[in-house]
Amino acid sequence: MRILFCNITYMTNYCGVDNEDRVSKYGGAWLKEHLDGKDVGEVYNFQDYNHSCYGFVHIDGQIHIERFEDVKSNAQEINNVLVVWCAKADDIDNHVIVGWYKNATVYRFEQAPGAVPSLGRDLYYRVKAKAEDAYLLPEEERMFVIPRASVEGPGRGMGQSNLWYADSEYAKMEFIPKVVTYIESYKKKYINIVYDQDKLTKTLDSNESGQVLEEKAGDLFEEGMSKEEFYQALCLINTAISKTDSNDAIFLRGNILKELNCFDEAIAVFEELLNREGDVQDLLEAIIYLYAVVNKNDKAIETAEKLMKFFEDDTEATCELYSIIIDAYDRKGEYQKVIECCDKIIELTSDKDLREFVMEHKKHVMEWIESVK
Amino acid sequence: MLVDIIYLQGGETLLSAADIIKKHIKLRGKSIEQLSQELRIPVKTLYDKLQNNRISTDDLFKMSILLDIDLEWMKSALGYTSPASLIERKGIKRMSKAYREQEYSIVLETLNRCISDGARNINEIKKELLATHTSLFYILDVLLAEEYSIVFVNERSREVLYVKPPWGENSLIRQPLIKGTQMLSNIIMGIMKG
Repeated sequence: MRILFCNITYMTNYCGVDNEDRVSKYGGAWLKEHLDGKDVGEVYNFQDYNHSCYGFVHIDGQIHIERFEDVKSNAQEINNVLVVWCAKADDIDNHVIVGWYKNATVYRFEQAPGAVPSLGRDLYYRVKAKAEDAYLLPEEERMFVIPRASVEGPGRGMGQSNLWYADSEYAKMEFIPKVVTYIESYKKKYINIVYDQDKLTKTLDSNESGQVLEEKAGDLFEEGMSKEEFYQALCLINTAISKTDSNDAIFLRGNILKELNCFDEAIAVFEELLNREGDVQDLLEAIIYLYAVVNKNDKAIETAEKLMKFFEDDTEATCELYSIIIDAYDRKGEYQKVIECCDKIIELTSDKDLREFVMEHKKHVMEWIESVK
Repeated sequence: MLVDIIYLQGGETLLSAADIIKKHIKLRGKSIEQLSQELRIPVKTLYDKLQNNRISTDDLFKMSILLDIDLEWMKSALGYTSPASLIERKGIKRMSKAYREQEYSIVLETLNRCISDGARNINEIKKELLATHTSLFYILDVLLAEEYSIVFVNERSREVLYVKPPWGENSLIRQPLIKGTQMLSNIIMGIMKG
């Protein structure tokens, strides 16, 4: 079987850094240098991000996936890998298993798709799995020790690298079977939250009217500062909608789903409203960034073009829409269209900084086109 | 017309006119007694007006001149603002530099007290800040550098506060809009890291 051991910093939830959940002192120099409040490193390894978990492990260079059986030397990714995440807590002496991904895709090189403003977070990852295939142990269950090669001998544990391919005879014949047995026989709870359909459609027992519930959901959405609170808001609005089929309540539901990083569901909500209400400005605005973040680039472009009509007299808003179109064409690899849209912004904008930025971007794109000719 | 505590649609609580005036009395190094003389009203009357937030429009205009209050900013601070959209992103007027400097130490004191009192997480700190200083808009207006813009975005029946960072903060072709509550988290994290 394909198995990969990855050593990461120790955290409780791996859903972002918070005063309650910080990286351990064994976080590594790279993580500490780059963290500084930003969304980097393994701090989000177990966050359900639109039904996937994106796993980061810090290594220099590539993951040598050709070390796995039947993998070609030029392969860029492999599937069906059991990725075992290990970490060392501040107060214990050993590296332990903190969780795992089943059926994961492991990439040779770090993946860093471009971010989308106003939505979600930057993604940097080496491993990807469905959120339902990610399993994070509660802290009290993190007891399975991963040996160190420096103590047990070469091929019998993790070395200095944060990766262990465990492809020695000892590992294959003795250690991996123990790990697999441990994982397969673990029947206790996991602590990572997976936003499955049951969870996303949950309603509450309430005698309150739909309007009151909608108001409460809205207040919690506005003031909410944690995924837990946004999830409470979701349950409230689900209940409200079950009592009163209000378009505003459905719109709020879409926004709450966005906050929970459930972008596919949020898109479905706003598309339903577009069917009901037509091409209304606030719906188009709500959905355009969602299309961008899930790489529905043609839809993002089409929506931007529809929105242009609402901002005919507003050159800066028009430039914002061209920016969205540029990013979409960038992701599609249609660089000539990127240049055309850059020219539009350069011609229209009175924002000196934006003009300079776009001119620089156009220059990079043109240089890149030349370089690949 | 009496100017009372204003709520934007959707529940964003703002400072009151009286709160703003009291803060500017302090900023300008005046006393209520001095102001009452300049306004030619009894001190007790002025105290009552400030205590009960019963500032007439006439009072407001006179006080804005005597205390050099930026009325354009005050309009926003009191909630008289046209919400923008995610695309339009029109920032609203920020408080003056001098006012921000005065208020920064006050808000920072609250923040440091929360941290030293052992608040469990960032959410607790944010809630305490809001409980003490009432308004997310006010807190961000104080804590954010001038280069940031604050935008109220109309999301159906609500106006939701977003922040637009300055150019150069990221490599994207345009700036992201960050939800106000998220921005506050980022600020608190930054202060905690020292």
